[in-house]
Amino acid sequence: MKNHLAELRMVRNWSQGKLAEVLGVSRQTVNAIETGRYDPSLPLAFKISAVFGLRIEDIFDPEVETKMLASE
Amino acid sequence: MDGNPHLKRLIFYLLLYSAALLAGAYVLRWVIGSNNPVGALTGGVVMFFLAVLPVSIFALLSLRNLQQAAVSLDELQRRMQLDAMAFGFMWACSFTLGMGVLGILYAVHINGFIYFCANLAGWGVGSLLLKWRYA
Repeated sequence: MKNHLAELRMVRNWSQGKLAEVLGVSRQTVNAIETGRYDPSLPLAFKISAVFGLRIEDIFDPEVETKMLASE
Repeated sequence: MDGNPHLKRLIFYLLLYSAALLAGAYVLRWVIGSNNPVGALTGGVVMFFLAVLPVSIFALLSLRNLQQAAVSLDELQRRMQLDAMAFGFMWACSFTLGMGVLGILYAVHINGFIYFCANLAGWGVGSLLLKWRYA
């Protein structure tokens, strides 16, 4: 799943390690989410949205299929 | 593994416990002076203290360490370890099956300890592969 986590992190001038510390996960997890290799669980997604003060859908882009499903 | 200290401790203790068990078995064999110490002794109590009890302690200590490590992992690390253990299990199953078939055909006759090592090796290789995948 594509996301804007890296951009949001850079706006705050945070390193991956700093964001990982705030979220209570490892730096590897933050890196895997940013690169789209790993989709976070719902609780972690809510935590990320709370940290940046945004909605989940403003941070994570649903897949094309999901968008098509929603439009039907 | 991302340098998780609990996971490193788990691996260290697993190797330590297994080394202690193996060393104990060899010392016992040397003391008794037989290639088959269990066969040389009789009675369920002796069998229990020689084999079942040490292995049970090993299992309990390993589970306790595994629990401590699991609590300290985040969701991605937990998923990676689960996948790595599944990889190790499947590899060890295949290895055991292959050795079993060869054993039936009298082609090989190896110590059962090799299956434990095969499982650990599979877990290690699985961990490295997943670490590389999510890096």
